[in-house]
Amino acid sequence: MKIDRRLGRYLGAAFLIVWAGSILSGSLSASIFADSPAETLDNTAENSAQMRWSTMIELCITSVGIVALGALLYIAVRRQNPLLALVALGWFLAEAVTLAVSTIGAFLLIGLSETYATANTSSDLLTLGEMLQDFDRQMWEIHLLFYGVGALAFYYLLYQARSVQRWLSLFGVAAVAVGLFSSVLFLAADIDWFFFGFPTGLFELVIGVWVIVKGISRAEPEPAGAAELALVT
Amino acid sequence: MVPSKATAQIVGVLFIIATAAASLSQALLGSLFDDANYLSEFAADEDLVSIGVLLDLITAAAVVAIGVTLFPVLKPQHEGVAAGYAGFRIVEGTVIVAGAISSLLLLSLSQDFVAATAPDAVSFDTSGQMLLAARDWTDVIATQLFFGITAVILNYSFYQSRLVPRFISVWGLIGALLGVASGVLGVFGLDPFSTLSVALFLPIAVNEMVLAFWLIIKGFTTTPTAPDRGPGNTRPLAGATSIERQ
Repeated sequence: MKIDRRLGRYLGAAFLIVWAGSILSGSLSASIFADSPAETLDNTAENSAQMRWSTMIELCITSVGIVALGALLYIAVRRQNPLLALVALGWFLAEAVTLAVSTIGAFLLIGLSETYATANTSSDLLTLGEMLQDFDRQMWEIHLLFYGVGALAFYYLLYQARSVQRWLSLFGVAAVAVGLFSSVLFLAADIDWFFFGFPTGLFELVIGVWVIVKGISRAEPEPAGAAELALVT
Repeated sequence: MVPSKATAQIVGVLFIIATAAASLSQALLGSLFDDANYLSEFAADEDLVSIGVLLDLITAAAVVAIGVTLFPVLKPQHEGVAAGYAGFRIVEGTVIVAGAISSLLLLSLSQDFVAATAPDAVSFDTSGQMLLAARDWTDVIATQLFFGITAVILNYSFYQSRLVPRFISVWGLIGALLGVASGVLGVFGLDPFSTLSVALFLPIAVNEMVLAFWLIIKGFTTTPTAPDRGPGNTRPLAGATSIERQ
């Protein structure tokens, strides 16, 4: 096992970028989305630039960051279990796709809010606004599920491979397990996901800083021809 | 190991297929999307819409295939970059499919509109405008933003590895950054078919075709640089030497 500081820096940066992107886009859109579709449409029309920034951060930083994070985690742990690492990467890609598609709903909401602001009749627009808001929320819930399954696999592999301190990877597994359980509940009931998601957010911040500072342990690659040599002998 | 010429030719052909299919789809469906009577025209041109959607699906498949085919080519240079590139192309392909679904939903809406005895035009138009906007946004996200990002990754990797001549990869890097800029401007309301947007996107579009034909005719450079184990490491691969001896 050797300490790979370069991979640690890239991986840590990816964790922190995804963490920051999620928090930033969520903070920008939190004041816009309301329980009432009429209020949401009014808020969106009045703060369309803020909504565009929130959606663009979600698309270009968070979604892109998730793909990068998945790729780097795959590199870090694939020697431990190549198939499970590939499956976990697939879940992360599904998460990125879900987030990217969810931004379409947000962009449509911006356009709809501008029409709503000038429309004479609004009942159809309110129905569409409610549908788009529901679409955005449901895609967000689904992306949490995909993240939970993929992250559980990756952090389990981090634990198995001893890529980081075992207490850290166990913290990740436990945090994601809580988050995943709450994501399932979130689909069925209106719970305060922030409370359940806080441990996951804290873990991502801690591991991001940890691997930047400490690096990440990786198994040494087999020398070229080792497989053939094993066959011959 | 140096990537084979067959791999290069496959990648080149896939680039051409992706560009041709996307361009043909836009040519077929673009006038329908801009038609003031789109609610009735979509149903009237059902076959055209079906062909356009099929071309979108071919584009999506080609885009994903490019990512998967280039993974072993880029992997020796930096495995994370290779995996990231393949991942982004998969995401891009999926968003293209979402755009195709919007077109199919528009067709269904149009057919319902034509079949209705006394259609509520305002209601139908509201839904139709929503689907048209969804199609536009998938174009901005997939064709401009994500395509630009994947082009940055690919051309950066090609620049580092010298698998293609540096004039192509430098051109591609600059063009890709301009393409991402056009996508960002598209998010803030710039029409993707405006003069500015087309001007920003044109360099990478032309570069991709030059790259495609270069790969088909010349293949990958047979003396690429070594994998990036650190700054300034540019010794040739051992495989290149053995090919030269042959």
